[in-house]
Amino acid sequence: MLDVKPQRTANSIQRIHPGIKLTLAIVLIVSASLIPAPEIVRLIPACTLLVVFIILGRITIWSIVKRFLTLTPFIVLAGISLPFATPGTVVGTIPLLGWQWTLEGWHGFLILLARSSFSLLTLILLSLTTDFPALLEALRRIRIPKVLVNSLGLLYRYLFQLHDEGARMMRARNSRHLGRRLFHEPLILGRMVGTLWIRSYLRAERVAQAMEARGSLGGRMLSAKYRQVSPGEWVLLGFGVIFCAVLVFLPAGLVGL
Amino acid sequence: MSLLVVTDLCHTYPDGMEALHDVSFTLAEGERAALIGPNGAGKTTLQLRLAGLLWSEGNITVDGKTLTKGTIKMLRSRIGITFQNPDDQLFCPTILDDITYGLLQMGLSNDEAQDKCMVIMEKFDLRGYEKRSAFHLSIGERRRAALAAVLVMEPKLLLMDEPSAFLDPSGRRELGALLATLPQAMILATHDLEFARHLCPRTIVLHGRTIRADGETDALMSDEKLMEETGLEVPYSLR
Repeated sequence: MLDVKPQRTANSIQRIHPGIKLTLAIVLIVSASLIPAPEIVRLIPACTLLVVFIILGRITIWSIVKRFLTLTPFIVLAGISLPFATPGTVVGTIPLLGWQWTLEGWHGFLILLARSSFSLLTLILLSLTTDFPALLEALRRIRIPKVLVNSLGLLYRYLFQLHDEGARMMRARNSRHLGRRLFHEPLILGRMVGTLWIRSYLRAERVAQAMEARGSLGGRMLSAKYRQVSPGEWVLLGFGVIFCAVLVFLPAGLVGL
Repeated sequence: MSLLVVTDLCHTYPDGMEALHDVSFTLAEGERAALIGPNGAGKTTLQLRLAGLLWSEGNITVDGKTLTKGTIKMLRSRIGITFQNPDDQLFCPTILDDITYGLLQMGLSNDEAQDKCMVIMEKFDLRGYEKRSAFHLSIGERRRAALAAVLVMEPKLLLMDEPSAFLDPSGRRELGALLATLPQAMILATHDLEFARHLCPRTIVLHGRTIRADGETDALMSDEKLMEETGLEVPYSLR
């Protein structure tokens, strides 16, 4: 998951201005959440659009699948209570616990799953086709608060450090390890996580000092210049916005539903 | 005229541990001094205090201005500090962003900052690294980038904490050659006595939270008694 670099060979999708890609992604995600629940199949044309991007962007399916599978459990976790908590027609019961799930609950869960999976897929495509620093600059330009953009920049910079630090601790532990599995040693695991937290905290202090030493006023951390948006890219954005507006607002009869 | 005047500097950490006691010295413009001493002698604390990253008793004057919380913003660009670990120093997503960071804080425009950045990247052999992230660079390259990020602000005083740490022999040699060409006054806190000897005509020995000796590098480093008493060793080249 830490491999957040876009694929290196520049293609037509990667060359699109990061601001346009980001705006399109936001429009697609907002549209997915605005589509009325009974007409959720309207997401299918939007998914077709994503497939076109995957093909044009020459993105390998595996790179998408591994990210998707890593993040899907969080979506499932967020919605798993819906079948049990939504009132409606009872279709089953969990033995012993007596929890009942309803048809309406399952519908709600599946709709949540569809919307979230679509949004997740959109963000995965965005991250795979755009350099992270360019994405940060695009966020700054669409007036996302600088504190948030700077925090994301620092997260990107130090996520790898944290990973490496954790790997070094594991290596140190393994070098004196006598066969017991790590998860059989919860105390050790807890101490390692605690140590990693303290190390991160100390590093954060040193980074704050480094920023202060160079006169930080909490301002922007990004300086890279990005080219202007081309007319063709504006057209692409316009097409995307119209496409999403049609998906969301056109009466069901007119889109064949 | 002295660039740096330090008078009766003391520092005690919040847990009560005294790190510096009555430290006083001066440094002339362009002068290079090594700051040596055993672990825990207060070298890093002294550097952080000189950079205005810690506050305590005593008086520091840089370029004729007293260092206080009121003047620190004005003096930031005159005092550059590099930390032992360049990963603490390079905090932006790309090397270009990191090197221009200080310049943007100083109020330069994007174009001015990038022009200055390109010049220093050329000097530090970092051209082509603009869009790269620090975690993709070797430790030697990260060290050079961290130094470039500080020097691009054109400080008059450069404070360096263990500049030769983590470097291989050729990286260490290259860094030494690079530092020797810089016009800035420098205080190098280091355990690498050969490196210090090569670069600094003057040495300050910190021991027991205060300055134990201050003088000509070769004279101090060849003083076996002093070196032994302060937990150091005479470098091989002086034996």
